[in-house]
Amino acid sequence: MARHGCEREREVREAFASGRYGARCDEELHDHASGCAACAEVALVTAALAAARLASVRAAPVPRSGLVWWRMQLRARREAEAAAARTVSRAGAGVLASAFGIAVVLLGAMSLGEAGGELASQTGAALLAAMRSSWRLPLLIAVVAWVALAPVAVWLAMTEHGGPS
Amino acid sequence: MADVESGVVMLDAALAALRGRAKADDADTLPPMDEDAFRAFYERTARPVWAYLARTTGDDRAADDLLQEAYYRFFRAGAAHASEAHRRNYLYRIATNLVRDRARKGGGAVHVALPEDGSPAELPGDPGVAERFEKANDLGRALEQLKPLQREMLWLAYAEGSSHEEIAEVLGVKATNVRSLLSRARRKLANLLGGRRG
Repeated sequence: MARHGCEREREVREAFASGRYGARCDEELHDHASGCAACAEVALVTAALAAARLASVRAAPVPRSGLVWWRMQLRARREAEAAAARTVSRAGAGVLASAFGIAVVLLGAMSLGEAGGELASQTGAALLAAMRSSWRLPLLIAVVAWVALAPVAVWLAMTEHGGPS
Repeated sequence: MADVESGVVMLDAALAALRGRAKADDADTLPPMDEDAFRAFYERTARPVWAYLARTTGDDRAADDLLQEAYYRFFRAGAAHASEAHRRNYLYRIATNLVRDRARKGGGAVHVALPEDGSPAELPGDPGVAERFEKANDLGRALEQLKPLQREMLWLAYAEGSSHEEIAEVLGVKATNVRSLLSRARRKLANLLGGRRG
């Protein structure tokens, strides 16, 4: 199959782009395109699409640049607000899940009854004895306080953010 | 009040992060766009981009929505560009992806209606050829019968005058394939327009 193409296709395209094709174009290029299948295609398609582009660009109902800029700023600000609110919600959910897990463990220990209580108290006494001698006791107290107070703090923060405006 | 102020500071920082990702010390790239630069860029490109969206989707209303979305994504990316042409190609790439996303979501059949102002647009230097397309719907009907990639490629090449490299960059195809794909698309459109010779 013969290769469909001509080395002058680009010349025809550029002639259209610069407005030289046609009456003001050199006749030699015009005559060549009339007899060359590839260049004739280029001339036909370029003329059709260039005319369509001209008409569409003239008719394009685009909003003013200032309006577009203002809308983009507004949307970016709203997205930033939504992202911030999502971050707080995720952190709160994580804290609540942790508190719930610890509560389940404690309730489970309590439900073991007297034997469980005895075991728990022995374990707790051993733990406390170990922790008194190191820095872990203050850390444990801090963790317990955080677990207890964090859900309250998150709840307060979420009610401050409120729902969507 | 302190919480409100800290919240405003946080939002401003988030906006700055959304906008200014271009490296200020990179001398090979254009600086990030401030309002004036963006508005000037928009004035230069909005109409051609709208025309591209309208002719590849076949839907003027869709083009209105996609135009704003394209500029917002362009703005939000805050990407650094080596030149005005590179910036323009990036915008067209965003627009092309939006058109394709819309088509994947079943965004309606393509009906490429062209402005029916009753007269063909004047083509500088060749009013005779323009008259052959007296009814703009002839081209619209022909474009409808092309594949989306063919419409996009033909518009970029012959309406926008993009090079093969630019077309490859915008459409996400290999530059070495553009010539053959474009040639096939052009032949098909020419046949549909009924002007093929030989």
